[in-house]
Amino acid sequence: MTRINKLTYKVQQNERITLGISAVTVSEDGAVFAVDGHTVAPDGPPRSFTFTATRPAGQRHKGVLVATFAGLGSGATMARFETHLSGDKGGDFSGPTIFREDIVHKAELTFEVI
Amino acid sequence: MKSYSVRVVVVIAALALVPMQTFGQGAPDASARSAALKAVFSKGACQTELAAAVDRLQRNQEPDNQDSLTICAANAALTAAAEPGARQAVEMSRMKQVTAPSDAGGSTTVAERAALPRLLAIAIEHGAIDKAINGTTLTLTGSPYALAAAVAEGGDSPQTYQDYRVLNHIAVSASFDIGQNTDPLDSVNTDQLTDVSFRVLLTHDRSGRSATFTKQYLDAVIPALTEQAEVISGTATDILSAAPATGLPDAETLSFTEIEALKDLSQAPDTTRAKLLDVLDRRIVQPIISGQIPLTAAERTAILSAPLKFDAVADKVAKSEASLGTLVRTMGEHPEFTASFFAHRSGGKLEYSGGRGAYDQWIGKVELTANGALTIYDVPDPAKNQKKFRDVTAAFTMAAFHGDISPTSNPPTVFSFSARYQYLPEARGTSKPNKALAQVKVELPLSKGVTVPLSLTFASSPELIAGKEKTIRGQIGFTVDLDKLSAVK
Repeated sequence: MTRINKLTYKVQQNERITLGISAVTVSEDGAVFAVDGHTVAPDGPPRSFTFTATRPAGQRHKGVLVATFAGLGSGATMARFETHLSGDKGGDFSGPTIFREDIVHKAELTFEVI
Repeated sequence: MKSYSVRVVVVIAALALVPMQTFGQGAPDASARSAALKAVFSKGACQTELAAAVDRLQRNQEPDNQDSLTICAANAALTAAAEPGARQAVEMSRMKQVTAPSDAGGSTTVAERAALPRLLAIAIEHGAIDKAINGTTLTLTGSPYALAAAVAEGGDSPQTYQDYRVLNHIAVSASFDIGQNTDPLDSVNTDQLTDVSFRVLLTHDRSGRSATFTKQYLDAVIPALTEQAEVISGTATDILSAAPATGLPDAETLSFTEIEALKDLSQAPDTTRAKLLDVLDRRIVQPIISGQIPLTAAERTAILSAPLKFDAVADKVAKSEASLGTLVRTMGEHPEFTASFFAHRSGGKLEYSGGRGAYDQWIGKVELTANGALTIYDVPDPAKNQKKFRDVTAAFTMAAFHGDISPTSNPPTVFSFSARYQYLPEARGTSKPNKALAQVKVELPLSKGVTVPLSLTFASSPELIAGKEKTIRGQIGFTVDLDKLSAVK
C-alpha cells in the first residue's frame, strides 16, 4: 500500500487492507465502515476493519467510514476518531480524522488497485 | 407517496437517456452551470457536504468527502444539461423528499452533569485513577469499574460496562495535602492523606453508557450509520470505481488536489465556498457537459439518483441521533441520589468522619442539587468544646443555563443561587452555632473557554466568607477552560 493523499491509497490486488480506529474520548463502537456498498465487520478492540482488494488492476474500491458522537456530553469537545491504514503487503499510514466539530462525521476513502 | 416515487424514477430515467452529444451542442453557459451548481448545493445532503468541506478548509483540514462532492457536482452537470422541464421535475421531487439536515450532534449536557458518571468518565479517560490538583490539595479519584475494565477482555467496552455495572455505581477518592510540591505523585504518602470518600450511586445509571442508552444506540443509531456508509460507498462505487482513464475518477483526484490547496488561506467562508465550487465546475461539471468525461447510461442514472439516496440516509442518521439525544435528555431529568461515607484526617490522625446524601436533577435547563451531611469526631477534644457529634450541614443549589449548551458553541450564561446551613455546637461561646450562607452568582461567557463569574455572598458569620467583620462579599473572577480554549481556531 502506498499513499497518494490522506483519502486515496494505491493497493495491490488481493492485498488485505486494515483501517484502524483510535477513538478519543468517545466510544469506538460509534464507527462503522463499508466498502463498495457492503458493511465490513469490525474487529477489536481496538476497533479495526479489514477487507481484501479484489478488483482488477486500474479499478478502485470505495470505502466510507461513518462515525457518531450522539449522546456524548458537552465536555468532550475534543472527541474524535483518528484512523490509520495498513496493508499486508507493506505500508502503514495515518488516515483522516473525524472531529466532533465536523459538520458531517464521515470519511470517504479510495483504494486504487495497481 | 407511491405515485410520487414512480414519478421520480420516470424523470430520472428520462434524464439518463439524454444523449451525450446534446451536451456539446448548445451546452449550458457559465451562468447556467453556476445556477445548476447552486441549485444542487443549496439543499439536502449536497448542501451539507459543501458546508462540511468549507468548514474543514477553514479549519486547515482537508475535506473528507470528495466522493460526495464529486457526485453532487456531476449531478449538477447532468441537471444543467437536461431539459428545463425535466430539471424542474427533479428539483420538485427532491424538495418533497428532502428533510433538512438536523443538528446531528445530539449533544446532551444533562446526562454528564451527574456527579458519578462524570467521575467515571474522567477515570476511564485517564486510566484507573485520575488526579486533580487544586492549590495545595491533590485529589485522586477512581472507580472499581476502571480497574475491572483495565483487566477485562475487550477493555472498556459497552459489554464490559454492562458486565460490571455494579462496580460503575461506586467511586472512591482520596485527597492529600501536598504543600508546594511540584511533582506530588512522586512523594505523596499516607501521612499527607487528609480526606477519603466512598460514594455509591443509589439510583439507575442515567449516563450515556447505561443499558437503556446502549440499547437505543445499537438498535437505532448504528443501523442508520451502517446504511449511510453502505449507500454512499455503493453509490461511489457505481460512479467512481472504474479505471481512472475513463475520466470521472481522474477528475475527482485532480479536483481533490485543488480543493486541498484551499486550506488555511485565511479567507472568508464565502470566498472558500466560491473557490471550491469553481474547482468542481472546472474539473467535473464542464468536462461532463462538453463530453470530455464520457458517462455510461448506468453512471448517469446513478448520478441523478444519488442526492435523493444521500438525503434519505442522512435523514435517517439525523433522526436516530436526535432520538438518542432526546433519550439522554429524558434520562438526565431523572433524579439521581448518591450516598457517601467520608473521613477527614488532621495531623496524621482521623479527626472526624460522616455520611452524606446527595440529590441531583435537571428540569429543562435548570439543575437542582441538594445534599445533607452529618459528622462525628473520632476523639472529641473537650478543651475545644467538642463532643462526639460534630455538625450537621445542608446545602442547596439551583443553576439556570441560558443559551446554547452544545460543545461547539460559546458557553451559556449561568445564573445560580446557592444556600448552605451548618449547625456546629462547638462554636457556641466563641461564635454562633447556627451558620448560614447564601450566594447569588452569574457566569458571563466572554468567548469559548473564557467566562467571568460575578458573585455576591451573604453570611451569618464573617468567618464563613473569610471576612474579618463583614458578612457580605462581592467577587469578580476570571475562568479559563484550557480544553475549550485550545479548540478555538
